[in-house]
Amino acid sequence: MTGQESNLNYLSLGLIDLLLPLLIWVVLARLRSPVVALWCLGSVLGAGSLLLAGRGGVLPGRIFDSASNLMDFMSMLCIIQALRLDQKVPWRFRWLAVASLGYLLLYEFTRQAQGYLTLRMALVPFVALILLLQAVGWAWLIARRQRSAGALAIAGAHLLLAGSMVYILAGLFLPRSGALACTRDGSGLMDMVGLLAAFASDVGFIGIALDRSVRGWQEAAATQARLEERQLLGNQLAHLDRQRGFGLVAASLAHELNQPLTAILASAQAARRGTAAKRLDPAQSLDLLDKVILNSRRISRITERIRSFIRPSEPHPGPVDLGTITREMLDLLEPDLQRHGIQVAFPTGGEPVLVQGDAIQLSQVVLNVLRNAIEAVQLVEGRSIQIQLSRSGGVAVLGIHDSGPGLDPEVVLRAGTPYFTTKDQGLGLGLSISIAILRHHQGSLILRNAEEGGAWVDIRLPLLAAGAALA
Amino acid sequence: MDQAERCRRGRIVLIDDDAEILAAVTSLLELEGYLCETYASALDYLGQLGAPRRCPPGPCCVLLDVMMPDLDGLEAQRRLAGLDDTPLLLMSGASGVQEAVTAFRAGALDFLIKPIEAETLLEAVEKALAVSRARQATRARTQDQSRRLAALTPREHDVAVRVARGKLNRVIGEELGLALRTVKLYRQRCLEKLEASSTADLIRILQEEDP
Repeated sequence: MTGQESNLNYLSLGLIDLLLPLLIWVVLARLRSPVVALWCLGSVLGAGSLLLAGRGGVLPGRIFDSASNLMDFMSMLCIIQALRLDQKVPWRFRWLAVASLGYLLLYEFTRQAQGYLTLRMALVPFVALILLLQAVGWAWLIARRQRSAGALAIAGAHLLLAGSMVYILAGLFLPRSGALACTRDGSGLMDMVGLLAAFASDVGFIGIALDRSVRGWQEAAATQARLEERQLLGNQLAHLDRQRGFGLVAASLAHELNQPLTAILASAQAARRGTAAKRLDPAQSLDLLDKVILNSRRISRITERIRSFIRPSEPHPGPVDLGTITREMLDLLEPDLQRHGIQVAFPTGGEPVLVQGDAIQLSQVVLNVLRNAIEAVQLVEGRSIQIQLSRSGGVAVLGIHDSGPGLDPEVVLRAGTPYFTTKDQGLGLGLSISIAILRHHQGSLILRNAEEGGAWVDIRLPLLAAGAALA
Repeated sequence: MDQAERCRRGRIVLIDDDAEILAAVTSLLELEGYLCETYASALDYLGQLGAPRRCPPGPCCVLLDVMMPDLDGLEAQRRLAGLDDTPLLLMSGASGVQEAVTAFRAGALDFLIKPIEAETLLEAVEKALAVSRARQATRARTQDQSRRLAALTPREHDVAVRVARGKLNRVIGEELGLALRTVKLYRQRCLEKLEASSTADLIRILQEEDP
């Protein structure tokens, strides 16, 4: 075998080795990371080392030998560092530089010094063996931790390479064992092993990366699905609670709708009978028709109020005036309040108290708290509900104070826990949904007993800055 | 149609907290020739009951909404029933089976479900006014009889009571220490003052007065 042929083999092997990291770089284009970069750098350095070795006969051997060896060393360090970085325990890069420099100096020293032939011959494979075993160890760890076949391939390949180093060392120190004191001549078993190992470990690396990215996608998808499910469930619960709340006021609303309907029917029938009997003058007819129109509009206002409340819409965040929604909910509850003779004091006027949030969800909170207050005051004479809206620091506070019997300490402690209820009817979800909604709006609900008796509920929400609202 | 004629046909007291309903039902009833009085609450009506009436006497009924804020219709019914015998019609939204039962037990004439059909309303009103007319006639007769009874002297009353119990003139004379002739004289005066055509008529009047 001639030197030329050997060089050619080195060149072709080096080119193949160079193609592999480029292939990785392209294949993993969307998954590039420092780990991938280090791995590719390591592979490129390894290929470079081979290419340089291939120029041995053409260019002055001395410099290229050193450079080739140094690149080989650094290539191994990069591979190990890539594996370590993958496991989040990288070496410091400055130590890598120091180690490389130290290795170079040691190699140069053995070349300069006379009489250290065996040491010089053994240095390269010995250092390589240590580094290869490191790589095997880390690849094995990754294979075990992630049950990754790719990492197993890397470990196997490097073990194979380590085996070949042992073979070389054996040839050096035990000449009679039959092992050849071979060097890299580009044609022998060693180089085929090297190529195979490089190929196996590069493919293995792609395997790890793809494996991990697929798993990542799966986890991300699962997390997203869980999140969406929880969101949906929350919306559904809130909607259910709204419907239940609506069911509770439905009886009063039925009465409220019946009133204008009664007026409409009576007016229309009066008009009909009067016209049939020719007892109506035009002015009277017009008056009766006006009554029909007026009361129809009354009905449409009532249904509009209901519809806007039960519509299961997606949350629409925006500036919300707590005063407005409180008045709207009082309107909705007006029949109940009248029927039970409940006095409501809600000093209004002044500027709107704006918070950021979904008007319907926040209305629901106010409705829930008001409904609890209405139920509480029914237990006593002198039924009244005091509502105060104020600003304190950057917080809007809607205080609802009822004249009811107040709360048991146990209730104060446990109110807001789902399914905890002191009422016979009801799911006990009202307060916990209110609290969940408020939390979602960075707000809170505070329950306490007022000094003068009765329960006091504070709904606290971050104020929307006046400037932000105007902007 | 003038006020007096409407009064004779019937006076209907409407009580509902909803002004629109009051106006609409009033239109309907006034077209039929009735007189309507409207009140926003039962308390308003109860408050003015003592005041002198502009309207000449005639049949009257009360149409009362059950669901009202300051005085519940059923409670108002109890109070009204204690005051006079004006027939009561109650009206309510659909959900009032229990209310209806309570109302009928307390003597309501009818229980109308809102929204009320004109025919139903007019029928109920006509029935209530008929009841009212009958009650007023009975009351007028009893009042007349009471007035006539009050015209009797104590002695004449004593004789009349005993005649009504079927006692003979002789026995009455013995019991009251009167001569037979005097008893006969009192008896004759009783018949005249009570405007009774016969002894049997006298007996009926006294029995109605003190059954």
